[in-house]
Amino acid sequence: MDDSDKYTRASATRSLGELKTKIPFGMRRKVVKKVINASKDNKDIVKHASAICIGQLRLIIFSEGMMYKATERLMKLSYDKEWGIRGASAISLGELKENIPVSMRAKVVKRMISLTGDIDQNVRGFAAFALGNLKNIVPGHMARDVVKQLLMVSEEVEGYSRRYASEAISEIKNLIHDERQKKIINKLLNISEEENWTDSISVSKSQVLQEGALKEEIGEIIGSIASLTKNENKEIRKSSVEVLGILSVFIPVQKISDAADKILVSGNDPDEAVRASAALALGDLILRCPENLQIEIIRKLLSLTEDSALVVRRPATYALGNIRELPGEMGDCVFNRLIKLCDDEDWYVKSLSILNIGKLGAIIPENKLQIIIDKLIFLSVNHDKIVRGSVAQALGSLKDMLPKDAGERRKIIKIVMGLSEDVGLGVRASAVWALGELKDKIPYEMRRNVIYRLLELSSDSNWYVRMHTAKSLGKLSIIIKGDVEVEVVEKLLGVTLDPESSVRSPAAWAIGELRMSIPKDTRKKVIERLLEMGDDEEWIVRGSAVWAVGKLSKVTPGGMENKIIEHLMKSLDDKEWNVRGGGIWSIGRLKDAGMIPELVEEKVAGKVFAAFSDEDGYVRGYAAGTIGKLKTEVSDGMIKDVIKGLVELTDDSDWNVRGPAALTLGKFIDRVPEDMKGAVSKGLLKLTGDVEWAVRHSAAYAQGQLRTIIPKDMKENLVNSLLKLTGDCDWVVRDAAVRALGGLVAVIPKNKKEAVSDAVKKLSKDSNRTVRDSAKRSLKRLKSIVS
Amino acid sequence: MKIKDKIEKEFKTLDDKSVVLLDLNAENYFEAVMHAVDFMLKKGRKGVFITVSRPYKYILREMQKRNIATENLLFIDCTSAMAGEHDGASCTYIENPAALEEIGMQIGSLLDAIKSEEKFLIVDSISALLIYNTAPSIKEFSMFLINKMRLEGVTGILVTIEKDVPEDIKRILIAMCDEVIYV
Repeated sequence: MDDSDKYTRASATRSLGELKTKIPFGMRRKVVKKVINASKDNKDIVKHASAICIGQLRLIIFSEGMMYKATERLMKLSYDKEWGIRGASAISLGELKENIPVSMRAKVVKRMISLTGDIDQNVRGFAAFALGNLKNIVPGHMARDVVKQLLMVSEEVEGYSRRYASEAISEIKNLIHDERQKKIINKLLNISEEENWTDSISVSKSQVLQEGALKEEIGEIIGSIASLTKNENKEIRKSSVEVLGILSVFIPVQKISDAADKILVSGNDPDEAVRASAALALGDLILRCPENLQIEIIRKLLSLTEDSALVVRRPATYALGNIRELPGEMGDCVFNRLIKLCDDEDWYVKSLSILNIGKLGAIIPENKLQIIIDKLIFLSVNHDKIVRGSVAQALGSLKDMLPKDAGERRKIIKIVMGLSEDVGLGVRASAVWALGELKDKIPYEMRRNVIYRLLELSSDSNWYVRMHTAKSLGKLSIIIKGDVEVEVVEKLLGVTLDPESSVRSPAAWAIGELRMSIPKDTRKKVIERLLEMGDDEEWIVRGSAVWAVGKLSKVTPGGMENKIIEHLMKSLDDKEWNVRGGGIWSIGRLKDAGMIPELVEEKVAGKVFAAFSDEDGYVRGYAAGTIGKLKTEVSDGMIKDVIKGLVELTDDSDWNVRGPAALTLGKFIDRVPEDMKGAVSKGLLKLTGDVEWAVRHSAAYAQGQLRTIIPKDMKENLVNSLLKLTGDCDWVVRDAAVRALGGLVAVIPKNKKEAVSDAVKKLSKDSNRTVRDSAKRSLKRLKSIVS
Repeated sequence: MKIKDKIEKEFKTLDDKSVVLLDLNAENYFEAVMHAVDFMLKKGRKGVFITVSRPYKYILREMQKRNIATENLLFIDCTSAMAGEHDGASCTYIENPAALEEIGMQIGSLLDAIKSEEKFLIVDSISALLIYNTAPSIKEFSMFLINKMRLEGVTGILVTIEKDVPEDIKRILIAMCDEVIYV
């Protein structure tokens, strides 16, 4: 170890590490001292060997009472400029585990957390590995940070990891003193915990938004939260700004500007954590702001991306991805900055800005596109795997923006093809995904090569790549033509036997997508395999297989009907909703293809009807829709129960059920028994005020069918209802309503004729072309009443 | 018996294209690896040496000291790049010993580059790879290597240091290899 040659010193150190407890007792102290001293060697290769060796000799170091010194040295090495030495020290610190002195544990864990954000991807991986090893010594107060950080490292390409909103809410809740507001914030805390809110998008999907009263209540406390953004305690400032952004969906329109001002000011806070929160909050707020405010927010975010603190640059870059529209002259500024951020020294900022380019693809100014593509091509050979993976994702996301020039597109596809051979697992998977996205944008002469590349990758050693390959082969179904069809089908059939269910499932899905591309003489074999997969032990595979059977109904060879129906009927008893739902949907597709054997028609209809009472909303929805297709299979003996069931489903709490139930009732109008006509009419009319446009649309269609059964005393209600729907904010609903009115000429009461005439005339000038056309056709049908 | 004699005696009885697990005592470890490589080269084989704990340059020099002809040997150095070393004519540097996929790919391309029917591969060592990788990933990687060697008709030597490899991995290696040599 005193040799003048660095390789000899490094190898001697590693040999000592390999000897471990074989080192004689009398020599141990000397060895440990030598190894620890080697960490101060002026040659990196020796320092690296020493870092690894300390981990290997942990038991000896511990028994010699030199653990404090060793841990201290490793901590020092964890700041080395050479990534390999930082990585090696992380590995060894992980190895030391419980041997780390108690007084140093929090420091070591904190350092490991910080190394999971290291500029080098290898160090990030080793630090995450070390944190896993250190799980038993993580101090309680740091456990959450560790878990969060590990999750972030494992999904680092996916985006920015934000803490749960409930953490920030609980930090400020004690500062709200008003009794009523205290109750509201507690309620808010509970809901945010239940629904795992992290940002304003997750809040906007919240069930509580359905409750107008609660929305108003939350709106009341926004002012109190906003006032905390000036608190002298920086932690309170940080949390209140964060909460303000997350709750921006509750801020009344007239108060948005005040809230934005507060957050913009926080963007200048002397504390970097407050500025970071402000960046995130501005990203939340931008989704709800009028144009003039958006410009201000974007400007602030752009300036925050230049912040010297990494903890600010990262969220600011992430927040830029929330931009949906770029007002006027801002396009150039935003994309110039994103292009520049692609060269940021931080891997995360670099990766986030590349992903943002993909996210904002639709609003890239024309003059920036070529620069961006050139930049992505340049970054496709970056040393960091995460960056290369992000490039593949961005190129896939830009599918609709690619240059028309075939030469340029060829260049891009070549890059993505190259990335599909990358050593990085995430890079390969992202490239495979991108090839699937690019589908018909792939120049003709390259399609064969792309398909063959994917066929090759379907045998990749890693399941994650195989999974994406199966999905992409399905997405490429529209370009799979000619002799390659046989090879694709045969390969996918092979993939359906993959040991991983996450691969078998997309393989079944992809086969379903192939449809007509499946050669005629292979179709029977394919369907038989899918039916077998319907018995797979994993529900995810059974589900995909059952859906695929339905998708292939039109290419299914004759003679297989009984076998298929038998399997689909069995799937309706599956314990998983996705399988039951798929089974019902596929029965509907078989009916469309005329493949339901006569002898079992009634039995099939009965089984689908039984699913009206399924515990799952989607299954009930598919059942309501499919029974409409099976109209002729519903026997006279069953009809009353079916109609009654459908009327009940119009009251279902799930809109995915109410919509199809209304549509199907419309289809069944000519079979409604006399004594149920009132109930059916009532059931459909009440859907006029439904909160979901899809339900109102189905209701408008079905109300149009009521003309033959509507009781006399309800005719006026029917017309009033459709008149209301002609004023709907959604054009699809207006269109269905105006078409329905066109067919009601015989039932429109005298006192309503003028109103109907006016409404239809008004819609003939609607902003939507389809609505205008439908209104004009209805005007012709209503000519006898139009003044 | 000397380490050299023990290695020669065991290796002479091996079938061609066997995959061997060389389980070595930490004290004899380096010497035993040197003799195993020497034996293979003297039999006229050409091979790939994967080093995970010692720098390629050190191993090369030690081989030259022992008069081992290294012209028929290609190296993969998995550790030096971590300390910033990258250059070497007959050596491929792997950035990170945790990049098992990259190691696998480089093994494939180096074996392809060797124009001989009699190839061998030595991994020095599975124990060192375990410092940088999780046990399940090493299990998977070992399976991949053993299958690859069998499919391509390459003689394989996987080195482990006695008592330094988790029992479950050891058991699998013993079951998958044709022979286990303890030195």
